[in-house]
Amino acid sequence: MKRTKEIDLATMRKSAARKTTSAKSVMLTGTLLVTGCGSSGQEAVVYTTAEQCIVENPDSRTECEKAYDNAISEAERTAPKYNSQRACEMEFGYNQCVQSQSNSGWFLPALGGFMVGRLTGGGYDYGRPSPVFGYQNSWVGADGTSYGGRSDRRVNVPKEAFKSKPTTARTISRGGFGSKIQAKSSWGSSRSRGSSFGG
Amino acid sequence: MHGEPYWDETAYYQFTLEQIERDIEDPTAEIHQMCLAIVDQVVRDEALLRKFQIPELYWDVIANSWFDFEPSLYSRIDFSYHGKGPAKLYENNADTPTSLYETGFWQWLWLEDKAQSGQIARHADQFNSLQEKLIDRFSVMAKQHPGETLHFSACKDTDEDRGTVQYLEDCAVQAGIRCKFVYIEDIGHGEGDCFTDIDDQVIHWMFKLYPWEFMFREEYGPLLLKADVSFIEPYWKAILSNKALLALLWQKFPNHPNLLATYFEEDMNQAELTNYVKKPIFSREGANISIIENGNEIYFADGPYGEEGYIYQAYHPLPKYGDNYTLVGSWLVDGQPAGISMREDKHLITQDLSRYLPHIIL
Repeated sequence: MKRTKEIDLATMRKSAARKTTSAKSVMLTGTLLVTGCGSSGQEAVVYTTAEQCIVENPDSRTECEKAYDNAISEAERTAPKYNSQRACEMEFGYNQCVQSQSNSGWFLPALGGFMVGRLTGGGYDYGRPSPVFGYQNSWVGADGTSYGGRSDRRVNVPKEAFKSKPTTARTISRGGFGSKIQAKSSWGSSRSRGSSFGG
Repeated sequence: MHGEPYWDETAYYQFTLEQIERDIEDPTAEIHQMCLAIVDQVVRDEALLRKFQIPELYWDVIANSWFDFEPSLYSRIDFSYHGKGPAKLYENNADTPTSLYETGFWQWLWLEDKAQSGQIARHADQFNSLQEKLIDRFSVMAKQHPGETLHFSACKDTDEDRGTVQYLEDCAVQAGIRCKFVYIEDIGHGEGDCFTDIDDQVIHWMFKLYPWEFMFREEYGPLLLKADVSFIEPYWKAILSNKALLALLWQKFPNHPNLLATYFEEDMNQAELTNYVKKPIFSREGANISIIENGNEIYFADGPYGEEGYIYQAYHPLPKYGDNYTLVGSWLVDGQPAGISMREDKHLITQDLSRYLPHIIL
């Protein structure tokens, strides 16, 4: 048999019909994820400072400090970045933004705290803290996901909340690729669409 | 599309298993290996890299990608095949081939439906394991990029390319890869010499349906050398997809049954070609190709290509069925033959308006 036996029709059939979604998915302004209390979620606790964590868990001083430092560097790596304090504050509110520690002149939301997940056997997973930021009345992650009200300390969040987030970087310019095809496409006005690259 | 049908279910091509295996599948695997031998020769030879019109800035990165065995995903080899005798290699679309979805999915589904409804014999087969092989290949690649997001990219305003990329994205998702799309034109230069997507997310791993020869010559080209991005297809595909490769194939494997005599311009005086096709080293969709018979140009496709030079290939017309000329596209995934697509055109040169037809093996 030279032919694949089975194809997952439900998954693959949609390709043809699916339209391109708008590429610009603006961070933090979309509908915030509702974090239900279903069994798929995970219990977690938010600490606004390392001290708060230590006070509540006196035996875990080192873990609390490490988790806080880890959250700071994760925030630096994954938070949305802005060219000016003002641009950042437009999104996160007055006095809610800080300059990047990498000293490259950009701004990001100030760390609101760090969230650690509750382990099934008891205790907390300090090794994988997730940085959270204050956004209006909510705690949100670097990708804009809401983790509950800002007054809440104990929250129920999806397991994805503790997965690694993508790195972001301030974009200096756009449009440095694609000029050749624009030049080639403008050739011949009879074409109703841009050229494809099939042979 | 342009008022002409592209996908055509009114007709289909029928092959015997022997035709498929002996005339298409085996030569596909062999030609691919021969082409790889040429890549290995070119990356070590500055004079050849010049002949291939590769800017010097990128010689090292191409050679390194080759010596590091950077993995490739897919390619499509185009044949002129008359149903008997050896299929002749037209060209190797190794960097940005399209019409993948029609081949891997629609063609498969077409046979499934025809067999279900009894219009085609139940035991009819098809040379088509493309989708399965793509998903398997993505699964292997995923292991080399644990937890990484794979960015897919194509140009704006081309539905066909967006469709191809969407299909590959679906295959990658099936392989458990986290995917994101960004238009070629929206790619950004991020602080710290990286590439970013429209959400400022740093791009580490990318499939681009955009040819290397363009990227090398555009504003962000030099940034490729600083940004740490793993590309599908890898840099060495800039050589494999280059039409100058066809002339080197003939030098290294003269008179191979699946090859057409092909020469660089400077070797034409000893070539003794009376009927030949003049093809730009870089060209897409059949643009800027002319056919010369006994010194007369009998066909010419206009277009924006050709400034980098031409190669000259012995004229071996496509077979004609009814009013149409038919081209066989033979797919490879990771160097393994994976199926064929049939394209018809009213013209001798297959262009992007050509019709797609399914096939069966009976």
